[in-house]
Amino acid sequence: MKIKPSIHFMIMLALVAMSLVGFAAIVIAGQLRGYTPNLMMGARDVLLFVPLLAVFVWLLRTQRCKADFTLFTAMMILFTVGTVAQYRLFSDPEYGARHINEKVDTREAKMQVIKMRNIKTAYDDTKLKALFGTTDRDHLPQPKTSVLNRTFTLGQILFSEFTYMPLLGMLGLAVAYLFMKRDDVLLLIQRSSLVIGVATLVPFTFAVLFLARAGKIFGTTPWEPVKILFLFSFAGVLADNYRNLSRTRWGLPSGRFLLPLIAIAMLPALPFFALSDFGQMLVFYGVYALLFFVTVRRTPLMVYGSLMSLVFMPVFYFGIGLPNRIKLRFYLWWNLWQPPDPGVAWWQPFANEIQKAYHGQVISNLDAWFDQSSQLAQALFGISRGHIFGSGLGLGFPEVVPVSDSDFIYAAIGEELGLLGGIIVIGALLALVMTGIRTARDSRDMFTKLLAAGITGFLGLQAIVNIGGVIRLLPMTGITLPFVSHGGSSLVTSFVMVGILLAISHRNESERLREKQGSEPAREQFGKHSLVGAVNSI
Amino acid sequence: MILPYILSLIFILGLLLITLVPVYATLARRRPSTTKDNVPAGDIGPAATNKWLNVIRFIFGAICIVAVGFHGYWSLFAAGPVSSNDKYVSLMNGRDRRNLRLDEGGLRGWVYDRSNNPDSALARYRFNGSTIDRVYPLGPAAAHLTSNPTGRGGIEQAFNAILTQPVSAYNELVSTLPVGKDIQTSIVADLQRDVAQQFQGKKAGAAVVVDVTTGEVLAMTSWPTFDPSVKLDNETKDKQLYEHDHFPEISPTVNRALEFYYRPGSTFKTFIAAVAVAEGKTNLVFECKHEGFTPPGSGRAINDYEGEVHGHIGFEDAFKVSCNQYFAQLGLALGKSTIAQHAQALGLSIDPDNAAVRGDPNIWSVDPAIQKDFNSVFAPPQSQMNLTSKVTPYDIALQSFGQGYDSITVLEMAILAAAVARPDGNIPYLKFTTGGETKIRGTFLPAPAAAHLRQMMRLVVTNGTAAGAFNGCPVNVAGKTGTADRDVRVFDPKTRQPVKRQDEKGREYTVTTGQVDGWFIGFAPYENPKIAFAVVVEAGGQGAKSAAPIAKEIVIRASQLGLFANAPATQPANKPQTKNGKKAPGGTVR
Repeated sequence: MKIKPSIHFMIMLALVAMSLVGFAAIVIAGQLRGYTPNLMMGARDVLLFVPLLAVFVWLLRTQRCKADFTLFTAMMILFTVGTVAQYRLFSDPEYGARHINEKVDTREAKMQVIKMRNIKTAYDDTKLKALFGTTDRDHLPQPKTSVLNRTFTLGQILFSEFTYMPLLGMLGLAVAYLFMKRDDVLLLIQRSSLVIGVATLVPFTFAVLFLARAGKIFGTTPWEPVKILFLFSFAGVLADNYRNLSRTRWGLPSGRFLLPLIAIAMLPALPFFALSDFGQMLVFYGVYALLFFVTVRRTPLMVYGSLMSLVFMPVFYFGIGLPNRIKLRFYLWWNLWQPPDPGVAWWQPFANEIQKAYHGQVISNLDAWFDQSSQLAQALFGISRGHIFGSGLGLGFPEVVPVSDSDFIYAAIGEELGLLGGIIVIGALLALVMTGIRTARDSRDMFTKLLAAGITGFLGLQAIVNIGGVIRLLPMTGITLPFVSHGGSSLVTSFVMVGILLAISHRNESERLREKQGSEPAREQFGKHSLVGAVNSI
Repeated sequence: MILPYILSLIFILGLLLITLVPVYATLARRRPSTTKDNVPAGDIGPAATNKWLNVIRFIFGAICIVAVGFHGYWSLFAAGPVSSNDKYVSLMNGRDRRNLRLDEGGLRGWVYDRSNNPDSALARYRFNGSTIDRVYPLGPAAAHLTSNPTGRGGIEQAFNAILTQPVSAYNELVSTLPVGKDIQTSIVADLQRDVAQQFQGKKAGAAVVVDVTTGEVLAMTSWPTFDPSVKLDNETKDKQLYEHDHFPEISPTVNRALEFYYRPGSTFKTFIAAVAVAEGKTNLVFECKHEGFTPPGSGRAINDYEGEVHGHIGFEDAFKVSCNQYFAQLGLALGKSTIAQHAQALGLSIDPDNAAVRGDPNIWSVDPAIQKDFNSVFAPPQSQMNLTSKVTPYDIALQSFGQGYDSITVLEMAILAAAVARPDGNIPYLKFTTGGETKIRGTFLPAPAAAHLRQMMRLVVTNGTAAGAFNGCPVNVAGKTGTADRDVRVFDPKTRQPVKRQDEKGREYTVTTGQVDGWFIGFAPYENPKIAFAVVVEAGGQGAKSAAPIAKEIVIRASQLGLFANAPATQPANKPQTKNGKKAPGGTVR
């Protein structure tokens, strides 16, 4: 079933309307809690839908895009949930506070306001008299709440990353679409896939090794877009070689073709290892393996792969030779509620670190463990409190989960929007991935097919790794949920990825229509893997 | 609360409907792929990959379902509407940081005393110019009743369910954290404060005052005490908790009226006397000799306090002068099984191994909704004797005058006093709140027997061991003194650790010393009992000199507060100076 673009447009308008309802809920709930969420910030967030809709109209009208807009709609559902969740978190002055003291002050001020409101509305005159010596309800002394009033200038809001990053992303989507729908660009990319890989690696590695502090440069991760570039190179080389790779002996391809592919595949490993960003590596190699198996598809390879993972299972389970942080993540995954023995080697450094943070006060092993595991534990407690419908926007306490705006956004959604909120996110994701795979299926040539499958894999795997980390389906990783998490460069990257998918989908549909009309495809050769030949001639 | 919640619901349901459209569209789309799926055999071109892409599509769909399943487990089954995992729920109760938010932001109900007046509340809010804070106006005087250093314990924990129960449906709807319900306790704040003051300067002690007619607790004091409104740092808190568990003898947080076993000494003769009266064995005469009484089968003799000799003595005189030898012989004459039967009727355990150690739930009458929490705080360990088949006549003889295996709580002694004081001789369930009917746990004594015992207790005050101690009381008091020996660990006052020494063989042992606790249990007014009480002063020496003065103060104060409003005052009231405006005893913990 294909949905008409006009229906898509109506769905998008409905999404904007729903987001308005969500914002209203947050503002009212915030006022009940003693703070007024910044309305300018909310207006900015709503206004961000305007360029997004404009991009849609531009695609439809100016570009006469024939792509499957389910991609766009699913993306926009995720973006809506994300925008509302972000606004919920950052409009709370406690969550927005930078320093721990500020957080404590705002929390206490919030609580005082709730108490005062309750006293005013629910206490009888006897109690009022006992508290304030007056029964004049309208002129009660007010608690100090100056700390709750955070003001922003228009400039601050307009130039915050919450404004320009989504805008940049939408621009990136449009640009990616414009370029990637063109044959010559695709051809150029496939031809120079090796060059792209190496050319990406050099500055990336330099940046990682010399500029990064704690995995970030200037508080952001500017290498998020390299995912696309590495994918270009891997897909290019694979599209070029898959016929050779399919010729196997004992189920193994010839080393002459396999080794260069492995070399290309290993390119991102070094910098990501240096960043110790294992979640990202997991996604990378998941996608690479997926592409490899899809193109080469030899049953013995599957068997070898399964055997390999069986061998690696105990390595992960017992944590042989893994960094402590990874061991911790795996332990958290399996035994969240059971503190490790105080003497366990990998646990000691963490326990010592926590001990230090308490300034000499002796912390029991159990307390130290709950300190260490608090992020995941608090996230699960929140999800459990959410039940089916959630506690309501602005009425839960996602602020007790550290970094709940990015890695743990799913926990905030689970707490305030409940199981249904989770189903919305997973459902939209499902639609996005299904349509992405459909796009890959419809692709005529190997390169765009792999590109579409790879991008879909990136989006889907990243989301599953993020969500799975929160609900203990998978170990915790510091990875973002596409379109939902607060993430500067990762948001831009996700937008660009959808732009590429839209371009490929548009190409497929155009070809199909041309075929249907009986005319020869405009570029017959391209349809018959001419790209491959082009690369072979390098 | 309700408005944003409804808006959220609209948001969720709206988005869910919207999401269903693309999901349905992608799943229901049956149009074959543009590239033909009927791939010729042996082809490995792009079209051949589609089969595998379909497999991946299927796998991803399965993963999504599993993810929803995991989420569903945490939200519905772990601690949710469908089922709940006890271990997880207890973790959530203890470790969820949201609990703190709910505590801090919600207004708990106020805890009033008997008068229901905010000025004498036990727990209330106070505005200090900038913030609204929970305070405990009685401070150290009622610390064990209100809250403990962890911010829980006492009434705050016992009545948590009521104190946090929304006061009205409207308030629940419009507020994010609702206002809790108030409770009216049966405590008389002025009496509570004054009784606590009596222990100032004493080593340790406890007192319980109950209303004879209704079983309501009017005051419950434990000394030493602490200031519940002082916020402790974690280290001190941990130290106090450790002391509470390991060194209860010196811990200020232990409620000595409830969770501390004492030897009741001679006050326990009231119980044995009650058994004798009930069994009609009031005409026995035994000899009280200089060399003491040696129970059959034992080489040790039982002597009286400071070697007193009473000669041939009858039941009533022996009770009046508190003759140990008489009661040792009376106990043996009554027999183990008879004593055991009455002990069980009173609620004592007769087998220490089978006592309800973690809290005797059969003492209180409470709202079933809060029973669990309430019992965890206010149900004392079951008082016990040892009347199993293993005990020797010597042990029985000792237990007959409150020594040996007798391990009794102060609360239990107050219950004993109340049961004797009641005209019907029944044991009432105690209550912590006012109102509601008085429930009777069982019959302890037939009415005439109770009257007889009351008369004997009055004689103790007029002519017996407590003679003169209640001079100047506005009403007539009846009671029984007690002086109990026990060995206690010696603590180093500086380190607050037990002192340890090594014997000749180098083995370490804990140093103990003998301590004499003073007791008084009784009731007033004698003619028409209104209140019953039990007082213990640790290391106070003779009960008549240490505990009885406190009991006297209780009676005087109760009289001033009008608790004997309907009782005839037979003695001219020698009104002591008023104690109004007195502050609670000092804020020091030790």
